[in-house]
Amino acid sequence: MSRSERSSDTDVDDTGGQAVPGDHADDRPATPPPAHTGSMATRRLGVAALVGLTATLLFGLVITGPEETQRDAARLLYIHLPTIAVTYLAFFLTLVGSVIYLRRGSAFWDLVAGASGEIGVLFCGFVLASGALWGKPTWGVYWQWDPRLTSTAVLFVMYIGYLAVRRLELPPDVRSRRAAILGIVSFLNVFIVHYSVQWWRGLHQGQTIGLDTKIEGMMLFTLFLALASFLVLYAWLLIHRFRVAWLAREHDDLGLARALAERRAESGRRVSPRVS
Amino acid sequence: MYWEFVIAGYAIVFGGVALYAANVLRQGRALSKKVPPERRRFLD
Amino acid sequence: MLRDTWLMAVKDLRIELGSRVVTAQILPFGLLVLILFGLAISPDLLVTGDARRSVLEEIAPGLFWLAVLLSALMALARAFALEADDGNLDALRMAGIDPAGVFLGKALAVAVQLVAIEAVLGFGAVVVFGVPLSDPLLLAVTLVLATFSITLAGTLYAALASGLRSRDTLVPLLVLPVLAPVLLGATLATRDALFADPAVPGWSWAMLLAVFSLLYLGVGMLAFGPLLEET
Repeated sequence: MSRSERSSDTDVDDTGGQAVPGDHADDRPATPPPAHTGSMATRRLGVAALVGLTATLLFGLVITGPEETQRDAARLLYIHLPTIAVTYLAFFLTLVGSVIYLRRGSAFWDLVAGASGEIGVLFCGFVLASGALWGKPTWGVYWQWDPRLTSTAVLFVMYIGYLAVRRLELPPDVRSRRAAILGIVSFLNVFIVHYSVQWWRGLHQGQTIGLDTKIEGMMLFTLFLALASFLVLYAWLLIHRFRVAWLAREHDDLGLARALAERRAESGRRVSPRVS
Repeated sequence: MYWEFVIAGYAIVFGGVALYAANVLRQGRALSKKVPPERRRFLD
Repeated sequence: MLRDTWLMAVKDLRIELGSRVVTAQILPFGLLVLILFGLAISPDLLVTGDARRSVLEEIAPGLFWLAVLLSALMALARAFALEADDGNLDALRMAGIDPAGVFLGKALAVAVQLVAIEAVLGFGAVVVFGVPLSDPLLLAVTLVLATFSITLAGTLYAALASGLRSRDTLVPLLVLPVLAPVLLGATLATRDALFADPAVPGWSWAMLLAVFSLLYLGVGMLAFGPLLEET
């Protein structure tokens, strides 16, 4: 892990001419990083996400007409489907980060895996919530034991477990390695759970909870708009969350270094010299 | 029809995102202050 | 590797023989769970359309496997709490013991304990729930395969969950979601084995358990290498 990488920071956080609220950076050419996790990249992504999500709200709730059989309940699909996409993307990135971390020991990828995992859990919760709220008007019940919903619920709990392992009180590299193994195996588990539940429910009179809705025209547009917006949102959240994780790590390292320095200073003050 | 469900769903998701984002940004600021500038960012 | 497996397993089982935690604490817990199920689900509830069969008897397979799973959690948590207290995993690694051997040895020890638990709980279930037995072979195969599935996957995840201070509150959270398919498969296969349910392909579900076991046999052996690197 190279400390030299941190010597100058010009590309990432250049705030240019944009007024950034709360930015404490100087205006010298080699601008040191500001006291927050924002940057040019996140400004752009953030604006894009905001615009996209507002548009999604508009189109989803107002402009696009209600779908025929499900009336307005289908509007929830503009939330439900994109959040599913984000969830799987997020957990996939956790998988990738975990694999790379195990092979290269790169702190960057470990933190990416963790940040993405947290966002994945959040959005998985959204999937379950929006799914249940869509289900009630559509099928009459909040919960169905169909493969997708059941495996999503198991997925949710599994990755909460992943987040818990990331917080275990262990030496950082041991903890990261465990989390990485878990991040990889959990993703594989999803398939196992999905297929066994699918098989299980397949035995019962074809309870195909498919999307019987025809999605076309305006609805399709709104759906893509929503999907794009949520993906951009995911990127924005990921960058910020990663930076927070990075800061936390630096903070911990500093704390550790300080503690070690104090201990050495202490032993230096003692009468009998110690061999360190 | 069923507007309560739609509103609830949108509220949970958009509200949840807003809360989470606010929390992450807040943590970012708090931690940034505690870490010296040269160590705040990862660089490729 | 096989020798290391044996060494690990024997070590763990000797500790168990000495402390008798399984027999004195985990087994009674399992039996208690069975009884509690009876209390929670009234024995007087009858299956609609079949006045001879109580709901309790009908769902006995599921209840049995739930009781087994919960007991297994305790056994698994304990398997790693033993190591955590003395930092043994470190010592094992430094002694040059094959990580795969550690994995298999621990899994084997837990499996032996689990078989004992299943035997007692099975007997208890038959007594408490009063179930018939149509296909003993399927039942036996299911018990074996489910035991492998639970212990192989469980050992991996229990290892991941074990912290420095032998905290075992995380073990259930990690282990149970993973074992959900095992619960499913074991329950259904047992259902078919006990009641000869025509709608349930018991042997197919047993095969699922076999696949699951093999999968986690491989994954566990692979993962224990990096897992035990404590530096």
